Amino acid sequence: MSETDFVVQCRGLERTYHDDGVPVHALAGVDFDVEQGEFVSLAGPSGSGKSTLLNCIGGLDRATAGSVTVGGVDLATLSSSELAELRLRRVGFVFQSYNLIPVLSARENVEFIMQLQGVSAAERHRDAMAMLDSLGIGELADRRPGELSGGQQQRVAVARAIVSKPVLLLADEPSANLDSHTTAELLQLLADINEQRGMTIITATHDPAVMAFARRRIGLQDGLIVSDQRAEAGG
Amino acid sequence: MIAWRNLWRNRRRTLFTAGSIAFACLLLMFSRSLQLGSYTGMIDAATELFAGHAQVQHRDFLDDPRLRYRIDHATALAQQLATLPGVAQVAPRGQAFALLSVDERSFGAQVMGVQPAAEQAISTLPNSLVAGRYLASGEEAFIGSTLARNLGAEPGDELVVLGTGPEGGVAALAVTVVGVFQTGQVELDRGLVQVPLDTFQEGFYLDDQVHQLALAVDDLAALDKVKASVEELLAPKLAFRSWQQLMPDVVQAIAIDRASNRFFYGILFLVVLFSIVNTFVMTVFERTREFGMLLAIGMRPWRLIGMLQLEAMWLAALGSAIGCLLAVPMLAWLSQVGIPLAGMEDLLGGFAFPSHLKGDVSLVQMGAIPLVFVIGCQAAALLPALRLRRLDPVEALRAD
Repeated sequence: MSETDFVVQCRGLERTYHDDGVPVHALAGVDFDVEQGEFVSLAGPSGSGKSTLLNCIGGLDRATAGSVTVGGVDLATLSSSELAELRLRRVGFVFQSYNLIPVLSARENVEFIMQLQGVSAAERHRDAMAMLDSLGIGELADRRPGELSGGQQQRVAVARAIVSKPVLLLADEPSANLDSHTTAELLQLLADINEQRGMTIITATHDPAVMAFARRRIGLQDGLIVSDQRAEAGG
Repeated sequence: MIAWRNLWRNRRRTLFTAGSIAFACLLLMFSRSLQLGSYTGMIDAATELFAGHAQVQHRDFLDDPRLRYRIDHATALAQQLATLPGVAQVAPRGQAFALLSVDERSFGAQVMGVQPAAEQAISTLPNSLVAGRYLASGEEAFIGSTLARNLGAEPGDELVVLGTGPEGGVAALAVTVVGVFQTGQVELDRGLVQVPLDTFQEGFYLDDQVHQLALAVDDLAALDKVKASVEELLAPKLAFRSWQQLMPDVVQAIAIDRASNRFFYGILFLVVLFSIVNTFVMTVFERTREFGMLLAIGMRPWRLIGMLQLEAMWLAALGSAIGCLLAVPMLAWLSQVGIPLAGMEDLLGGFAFPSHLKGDVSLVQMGAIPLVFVIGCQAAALLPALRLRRLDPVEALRAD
């Protein structure tokens, strides 16, 4: 496999924080690659470094040492503005708390990222509606987040994350605020996106259900990879 | 659109802040209108009482009002000035300092020779009559009330005027007091007596010569145009003096009032700006996680700041619009009806205030107030908004 087939490459990745002057090694030398089309779950207890790793891959956080490459681009070489551009066009984010804009409708939330990308109003409207329809929430397009259930809000968040067709979808604890039934629906949705659209997905989770759904499970502990297992996707 | 909707996330806070802008806008418009109106009234009252809107004088007369600094061929010049566009009235006046005596009492005062008909058209002094009548012709005198009291003079008494002629000879007049005036202005009531111009010129050995040609103009705002056309007619030794040059005390009083009002306006403006700063500090604080999400998905900090600035603009526009709407009927009343100053004429007359204080509504002046608030709100919102430049999206996403 050539270098360019990897969507994500981490080499000796370290991230050290200082908490009241005491160094905290959130990542202590992580090496792993993610291929195009993989569905990876980063699993581990709280403080194991999975969210930090996800943030470093998404260009939200910078490595203290080592390197992160996304789509062949070394993130350490990018300015803050270039990192923002990368996040805008090549990486989609799904957050634990949905983080939808409360004053916008579901459709407007999905359109918002395309507006940032400079997409025309007509194209935005068409693509957003198509995306909401494809995720089964087209009839909720005009509702605001406060009028939607948690599962519906997370679907809107997923729609927003993938509407601009990023190469990589990062989901940090996407099921944390969902019940088991809604979690199962969300996971099926992510699996469908992964399989039908070929989108690479990396989730950070300590939810066994999410771990079970991913075809590759990377275990983290104390900022190090302690396991890396590939499995058949299950339900 | 998103900025407008964001404004209504906290309806109560938005209404409170917009209300404070509206109130300040209203208060500033009211105060400014009243301020401008009082200046107009003050200038009108001061110029109409005696000085006129402008005067033609010998160029040295203003600083050194001597008898010899006079205008020759005054009748012809007055007639020429009266035909100029924008000039409404011309009143020739002679002026000299003299010793006035009634029986055993003597006081020094300004003696002014006037044409009674011209004076009644240009000055309200003849209307300030408290005893007797105004001048008609011949050997008559119209005297200030304080001066009359000091001299013990009443209408019908003979007043002897002793002064110095232009060549150093004794100038003497014997006139009869026909009227007493009271303006409320100490220097006039205590130190002025008017006599017919012919009588004055005869007594002070003047031919067709005067010391002032007082002018009233149709439109005070166009005084500079009148000045230009008047100056074309003047001999080099003569000068055009505007009301500002004739009454520097009025100009100074207005300048002082402007300065104190600026201070008041500034304080009020700052109070409102602080409330806006507070609103946007709270906005940034409450929406930190959302801003973190927006940064995470690739929104640039400057676009976030722009969004907040747009919210500030909407907020200022809303407050200013409410303020302007409330101000319209209030300013209409103020400019048409005004605030009566009944019973205060004696007190205010000394300061050349009108008896009825009306507001002056200038579209430019009134329009500047909401504009200042819109700009001020931008500056006020920018302070907290600039914090977003350094917002760490990872930290922000963890915010409660």
